Amino acid sequence: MWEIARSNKRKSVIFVFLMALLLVLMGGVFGEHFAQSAETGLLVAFVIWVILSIIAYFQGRNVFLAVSGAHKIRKEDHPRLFNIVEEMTIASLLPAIPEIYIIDDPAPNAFAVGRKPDSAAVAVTSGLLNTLNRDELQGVIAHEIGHIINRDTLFMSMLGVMLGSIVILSEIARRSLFFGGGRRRTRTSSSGGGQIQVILMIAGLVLMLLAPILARLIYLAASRKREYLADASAAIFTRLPEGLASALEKISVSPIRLRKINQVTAPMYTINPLQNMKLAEDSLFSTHPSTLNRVRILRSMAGGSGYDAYDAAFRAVTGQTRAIIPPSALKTAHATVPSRSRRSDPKSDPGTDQTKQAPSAMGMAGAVLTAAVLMDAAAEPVTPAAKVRETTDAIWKSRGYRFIPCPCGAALKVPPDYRRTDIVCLRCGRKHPAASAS
Amino acid sequence: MECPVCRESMIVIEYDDIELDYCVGCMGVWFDAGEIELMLGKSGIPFPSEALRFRVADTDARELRRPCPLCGKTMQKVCPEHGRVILDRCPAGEGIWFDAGEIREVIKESAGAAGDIVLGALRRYLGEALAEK
Ligand SMILES: [Zn+2]
Ligand SMILES: [Zn+2]
Ligand SMILES: [Zn+2]
Repeated sequence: MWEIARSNKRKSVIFVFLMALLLVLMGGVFGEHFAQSAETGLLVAFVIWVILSIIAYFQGRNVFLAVSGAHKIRKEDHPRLFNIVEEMTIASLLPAIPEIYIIDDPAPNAFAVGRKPDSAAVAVTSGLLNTLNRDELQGVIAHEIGHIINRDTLFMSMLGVMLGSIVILSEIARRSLFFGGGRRRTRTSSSGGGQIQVILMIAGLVLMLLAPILARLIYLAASRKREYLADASAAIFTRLPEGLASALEKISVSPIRLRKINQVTAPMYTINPLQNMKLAEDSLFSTHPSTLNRVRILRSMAGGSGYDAYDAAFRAVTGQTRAIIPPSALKTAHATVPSRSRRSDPKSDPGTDQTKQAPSAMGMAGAVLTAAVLMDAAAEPVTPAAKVRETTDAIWKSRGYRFIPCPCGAALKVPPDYRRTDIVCLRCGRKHPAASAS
Repeated sequence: MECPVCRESMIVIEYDDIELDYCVGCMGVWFDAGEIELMLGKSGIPFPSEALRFRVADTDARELRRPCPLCGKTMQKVCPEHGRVILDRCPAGEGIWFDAGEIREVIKESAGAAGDIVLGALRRYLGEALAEK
């Protein structure tokens, strides 16, 4: 399962280097403009880059979780979600179950973070839990675990932090050009050797304005292929490409926008929330490949769920002749993985035939996976309202709320900072001691 | 979430798969837009719908302006289309605040007219408490 991670590693270094170069160059222009010293600017930018990289490397995971407003949940808070993550952990041979976070946001989306596969985290929005059915949710979780397995998470968060700083620097530069342009001009005219100065200044200006676009292009070049590869991994882990395809479709047509979103966190999500969501064709500036293409490829994987099927579907849909899957991966056990049938009705698709279908590909994991499927006590709620309650209850519990069932049929949910000693039920007027909440 | 009147931490109450927030201190109730949508969904009414008909109330200086418990912006004073009770509504449409007395008044007002679906749903939700008092 690590063959893609290995092939990604070399390219990662080049992209990080390019992005760093751009950031440091911007620092030079900045220094020249504000302090009349390009060297100072270069140095400051280099120091900033080192600090950012250290933060992104050691704390990137927590920074992303914090700025997106994610809350960690325990197994008892949302058994069904945990069950799916456990299932996909086993199917992907991930060394440890990722920590699970919920973001209270109606827009359906998800992302994964983590420096190493054994200390990763997956965050999903409440909107995702409310919108998707089990197969679809499994597809999205498998895609995120795909990013973890392929070692995308650390690299993408480092690039993301740099992209964010470049965008912010360019924004500051653009604004200051309106107000601070005067001083610059007087210096040029007094220092005599004008022409080179002017050319350098113009070049600097152009760099400032183009840097965010360049940075986005680098990010795109780095991330686009990774999205396809994570989709391919998801197909292998779930053995049901249609689950992810249908989820991507639902996420992309949702009219709701994420609340806590910015240039840095946006590219981390399953579907980039800052992009035009109209299932647009691949465009030069999109960090993610066109969702339409991703859906088409997954749906064209006739009968198979392995790398071979994904690669063939990719070439058929995009018209490209080069393989998307690294050749080393096409030679592994994951090249051919048969698909399973849709589990719309859990009883009609007993987990037992999963091991029969792919004993070589799944091996031990397959057997454990089957056990996990059979133990699936956390059934999917039937009505949309019940599903929303399952999600909000997980959020309440993750925030330390305790529950009191009232005999009138209502459930009272008590916040951790509740000060009174008792609680009057709004529905029936019964008095409950606050200490009875659990 | 904090009560916009007494700043106390509010209790969440769930009944029939619908959640409301209320304050034990003043018994005021916050009805979240998402929950209104769910409630309408359960009765098969599309959202946003005619069900949420409110008119902006004639500004009354005596009515205290309150902050929205969700977004903090000052709430608008509104009336149910066929009623006189003045309620507070989030300017961004995130929900409606009922003062303790208001919720009963509103429900009493709309008891005859079949007009307002939200109030009808609220009446069912709070059925027992209202029957007793
Ligand atoms: Zn009660
Ligand atoms: Zn209160
Ligand atoms: Zn508001």
